[in-house]
Amino acid sequence: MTVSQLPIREPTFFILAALQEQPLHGYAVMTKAEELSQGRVKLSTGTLYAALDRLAGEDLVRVVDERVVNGRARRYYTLTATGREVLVAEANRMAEAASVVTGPRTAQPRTAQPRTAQPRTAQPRTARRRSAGPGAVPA
Amino acid sequence: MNPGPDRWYGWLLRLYPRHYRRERGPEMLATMLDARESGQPHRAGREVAGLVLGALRMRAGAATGVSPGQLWMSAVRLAVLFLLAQGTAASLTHAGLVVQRLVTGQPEGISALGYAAATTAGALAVAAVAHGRYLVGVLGAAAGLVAMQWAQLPVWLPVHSWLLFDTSFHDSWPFPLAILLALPLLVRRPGRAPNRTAPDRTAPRRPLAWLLAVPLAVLLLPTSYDATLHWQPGALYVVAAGCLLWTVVDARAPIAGAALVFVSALPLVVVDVISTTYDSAGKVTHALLYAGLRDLAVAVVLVGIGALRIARQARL
Repeated sequence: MTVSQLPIREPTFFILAALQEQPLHGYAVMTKAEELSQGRVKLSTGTLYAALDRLAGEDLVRVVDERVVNGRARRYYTLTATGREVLVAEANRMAEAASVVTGPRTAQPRTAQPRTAQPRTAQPRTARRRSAGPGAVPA
Repeated sequence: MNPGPDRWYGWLLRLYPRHYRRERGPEMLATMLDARESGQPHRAGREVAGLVLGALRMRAGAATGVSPGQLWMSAVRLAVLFLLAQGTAASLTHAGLVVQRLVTGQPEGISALGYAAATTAGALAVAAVAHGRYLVGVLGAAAGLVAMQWAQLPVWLPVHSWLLFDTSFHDSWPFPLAILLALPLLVRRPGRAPNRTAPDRTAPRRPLAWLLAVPLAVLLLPTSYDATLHWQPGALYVVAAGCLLWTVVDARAPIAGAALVFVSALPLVVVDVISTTYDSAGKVTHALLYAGLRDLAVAVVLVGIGALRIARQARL
């Protein structure tokens, strides 16, 4: 996957967006994507894992942790550098398209700066713990 | 007593291929149980539909996220398999008729063995292409074509009687079309992007399943067996409609369906162009041409729908 292959589908966009702040497990990705899309993207388990397979195959997301919590298997996914690049490029593309209607002041293109964690480098657990919410990798 | 949700979801997960279930099953089950416990009743139907669709796509090899070019090559591979199955079914039908004639004591020339040879070569080609051995598939189809022509030697003359009355003429087209379509596969194999080292995601290898498609093709596709069944062209349209419905699962299906419709339409057009046909009142008629053009239009529509779906499926 390269930025030249944009646009991406809306569910894919919100799955990537759900992972931009911290690694999440499958169900957390589903709820976060629904929340971020204001209820427009309602993923089923089958759809979610097909999308995660695809995104992992394109090196846009990767598994950072696997564990069993309360007897349930969990895998935690995070964005790769390429995934973040694609996400930001798609956001900029949509912002530019929106600015045609709403004016340039309301849409400021951003550069591909990671907001919190660097996915390819090892992170101190304390930093991850500070930002952890429901569905994030437990300490 | 109703089964518990974990057992119910476990059953649904069994729709997925075993290797995928082993890799993803426990994680997916945990996610489904989480979703169920979230108390959102609207999720239940979506969960079932998503799982069934996902499993069907996985089993069909309908991978998403590969480039449109790769998906097109994969669709061509599917079309080649459909055509080879039809060609093999056609020669199998003729071989069966030869056996029937021999059993009833009617004389048969040595060239009648050509149908058996064509069936064997066609089956070899089906298995080879299904296994990703495209060169062997092309050679098998070529051998099947030659054997089929050899078997038809006695009816080669007079040419017009062969064209109009011998159904072998209509049965001779799938092999050459399959060879033509398979040529690009020799250069660019489907399912593998240049920078991808992962296994082929769009071309699952199931030679046995494709060989089992041959007897089904005897019944459902235009072969000489239709002289007994009289199911054509209705059965062919049902197959085409099935390919159209299967688009929900696999964007390549209409392309493969179009190949079947095209290969049945082409002989009708060719016969009308190179010969004159008459209706029962002795008047010149172009009914074959119109029927052929109608089917060609159906094939074009199927290709158009397939192209749109492939473009959509290739998007991430």
